[in-house]
Amino acid sequence: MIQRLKHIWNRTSAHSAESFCIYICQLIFSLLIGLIFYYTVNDNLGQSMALEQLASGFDRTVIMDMINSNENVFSSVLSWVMTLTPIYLIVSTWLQGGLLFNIKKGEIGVISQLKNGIKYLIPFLGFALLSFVLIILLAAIIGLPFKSIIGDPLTTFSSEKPFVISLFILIAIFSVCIIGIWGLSISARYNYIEGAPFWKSIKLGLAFLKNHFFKVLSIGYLLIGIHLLLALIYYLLMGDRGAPSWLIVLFAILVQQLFSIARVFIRSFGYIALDQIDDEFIG
Amino acid sequence: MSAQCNSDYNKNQSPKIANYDITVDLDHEGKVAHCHQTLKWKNTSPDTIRSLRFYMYMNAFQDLKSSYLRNSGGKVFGRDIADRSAKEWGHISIDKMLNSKEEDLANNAEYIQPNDGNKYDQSILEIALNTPLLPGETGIYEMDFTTKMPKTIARAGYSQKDFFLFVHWFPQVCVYEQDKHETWGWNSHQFVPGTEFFADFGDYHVTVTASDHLQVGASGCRVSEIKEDGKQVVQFQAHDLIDFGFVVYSEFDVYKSTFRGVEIEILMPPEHCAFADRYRQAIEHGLEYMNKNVGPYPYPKITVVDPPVHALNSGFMEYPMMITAASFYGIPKSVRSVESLVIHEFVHMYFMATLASNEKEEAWLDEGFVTYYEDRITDHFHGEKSSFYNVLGFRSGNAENSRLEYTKLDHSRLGPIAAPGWEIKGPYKGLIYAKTSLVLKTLEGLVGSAAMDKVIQAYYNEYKFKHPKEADFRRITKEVLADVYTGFDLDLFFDQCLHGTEICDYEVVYIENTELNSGNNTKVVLSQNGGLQFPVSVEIIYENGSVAYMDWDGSPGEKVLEYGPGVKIQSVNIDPNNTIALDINFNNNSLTYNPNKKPIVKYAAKSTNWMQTFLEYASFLF
Ligand SMILES: [Zn+2]
Repeated sequence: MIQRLKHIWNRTSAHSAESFCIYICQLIFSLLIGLIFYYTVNDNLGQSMALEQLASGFDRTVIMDMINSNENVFSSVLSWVMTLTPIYLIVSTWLQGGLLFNIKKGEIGVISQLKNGIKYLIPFLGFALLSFVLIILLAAIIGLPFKSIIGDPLTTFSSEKPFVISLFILIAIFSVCIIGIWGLSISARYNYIEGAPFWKSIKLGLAFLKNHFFKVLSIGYLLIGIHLLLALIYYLLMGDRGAPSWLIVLFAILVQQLFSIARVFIRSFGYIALDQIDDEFIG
Repeated sequence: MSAQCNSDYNKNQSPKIANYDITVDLDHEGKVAHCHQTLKWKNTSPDTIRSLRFYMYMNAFQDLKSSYLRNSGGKVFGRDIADRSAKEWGHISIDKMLNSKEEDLANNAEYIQPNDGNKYDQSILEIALNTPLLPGETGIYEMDFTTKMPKTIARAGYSQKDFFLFVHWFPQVCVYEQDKHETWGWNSHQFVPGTEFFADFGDYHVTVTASDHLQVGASGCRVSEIKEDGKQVVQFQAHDLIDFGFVVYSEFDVYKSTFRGVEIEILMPPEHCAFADRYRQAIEHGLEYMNKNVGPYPYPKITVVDPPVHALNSGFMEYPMMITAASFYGIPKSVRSVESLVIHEFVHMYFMATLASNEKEEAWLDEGFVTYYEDRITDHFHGEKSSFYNVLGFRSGNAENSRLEYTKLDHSRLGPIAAPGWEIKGPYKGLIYAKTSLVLKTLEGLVGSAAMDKVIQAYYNEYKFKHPKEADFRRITKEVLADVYTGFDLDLFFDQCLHGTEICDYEVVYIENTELNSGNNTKVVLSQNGGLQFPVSVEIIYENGSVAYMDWDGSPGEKVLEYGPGVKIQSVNIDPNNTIALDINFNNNSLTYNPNKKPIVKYAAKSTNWMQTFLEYASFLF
């Protein structure tokens, strides 16, 4: 087991450049939001001594006074988020396609990633769309009957405990579905890279999922677990330190970016883990 | 049974005008209580009383035609009420009322509608007394009445099989008092939304007979309990209360403790057991703080009822010696809405139960004062910036939260807070609770905490077990502050804060530094953008680091400060300690040429990182 994970990790490191390329692209899109955010807050608060309060930690009064005195304060930030997200997702599908190609074909490097990724952009957008539709569909299939069985949770039960517990069960079921869709979607992309036509890739993906459901599930939960652990470490490390000095601010930025890089690497790790199963499957 | 509750705690603290001895026979399956009450009512007026008026508030829930439900817009506490079946409505009726001559006065009964003339409203009943009551006389009446409980509505009623909250459940005598023109008469408002308590003090002996699988909790002390043949008879006794409520449920766990001689009884469903300790601590904090800063808690006991989730609408309420809280399985300790609510309801034992103002006419005198102390207590024990919640670095203080209830309102439409409940349309909480609390906090900011405590202590001492009005509070405040503070006009303060609709918003508009030989003066422009006026201190920091303070009367409009050419001002800060809590925007109170940009960079970096995380998860999914 450890040996296998180590092997996956070695392969992940080999594809560092591609992961880093994804990270840089994410950073560029996000920095745009950061800059707009900076100018928005600066315009509203830039000359106020209330900034001193924010410097000593999260201050709801300062933030809410800013929002109350100008309720559209963050509307430009939000509209940029809405605009940039779909554009990023297209670029991301491209970069991800290249990464998957490199993983599957044993190629290394950003040039190959960019060159090959673009070839798969349209079909991979198709797979992405399919994932999106499946997620919505499953959410409806699981969520709607739950709502109709439970009705108004405040009056149906004699206690809210079963409601809270069933909500957790629902989330667990939903997470299984999400991981399944993810496994299917990535496996279908691998099959496409291997030359299978679009629908055949999905069919093969389904077969893969059927044969390796628990392995896919364990990878999915492993990734979720690592993400939760990272979030916890980040919170323990950063909490809300405010911004008492430039050093602390720089330290926070550094930690944030390290965690962002880590998140992209975790994804690559997941792709390689799936490929590993796939190889064993084919082999 | 606890010692202190069992002892003779009757201290004759109140005038004991309306005294009730009630026996209740609860048919929990039929949701009906068959009751008998002996009413002893004392005529403390100089008038001869020819009729008694009763609150029959349960009748507000008998159909959609009552004034309460007509004014509810089809929903009570967010729940539709129109589609109720016949058995889900409630009502109350007096079946018999014998005077000392054994004459049945029930035949003299007539529903009246002094407020709105809605002839379908049966929330006030007038009964002519065959024998008038002379000044100083006490009338004794033996009454049979029936209360049918509705499915929970505005707290009162039953929920599922056997949860009951009995409030507004007995014929309660209205208040015969002097109005502001000093004319004696009945103060007997119909039941409408936004109004609740106003009654005379008295003693209560209440005996509840119910199936023995049920637990019963109540205002007052439990003095005896007998179980026999599947039935139980529980007796409660309470002195100097303005009302009495009780609760019945089969699933309660009971937690009892004593703090500083006061018995704390917590009744909660088993799934909420994690909150028992939090409730107990909240009550202890309330007791400790109020005893120290306002006055001694006047009762031997407090009952805390935590309703099950299906009866959540019975929560969030205060009755003398009994409060109903609300919790939800899984609320973490870092979210202190639970503590905040318990403390709020507990403080009502001072402002409502003891200082029994007319909540219908002057709700701000109880909800507003309660919110002010709720904020003070929670902030004192849990920290100013985190007493309401502190989750993953996001935090809020309780007072901070109350202030936002007010500042988030659309200010131009606000009515005055000193208005009867039925005239307050719209944001009741933001106005009556939050704005009043901010008015008091602003007064505290202006006169200092020690002087403010003296004001409230004097108010409590003089008016406990009475019905104080706005004029009483204003008089006490002026008397106490006469020795302490003379710097501003208290009448102006109260007039504009309680009866006005203006806001307060200080702003430093700009600072214009000019060169030595430019011929122009250095200028600072301050502004009060609202119509309120409070004296404030202005901090001026010069470029060379020296700091000066000046007093400004804070009158509406702009105030221009001029300095000679060449004077370099770096920062100006109006009210640097945020003493004027009513100010709706603290951010524009200051302007500086040396701003601290670190937090902006920090939040920009954070928002960058939030976006990165969001994009990463989105690309992971698709
Ligand atoms: Zn209240």
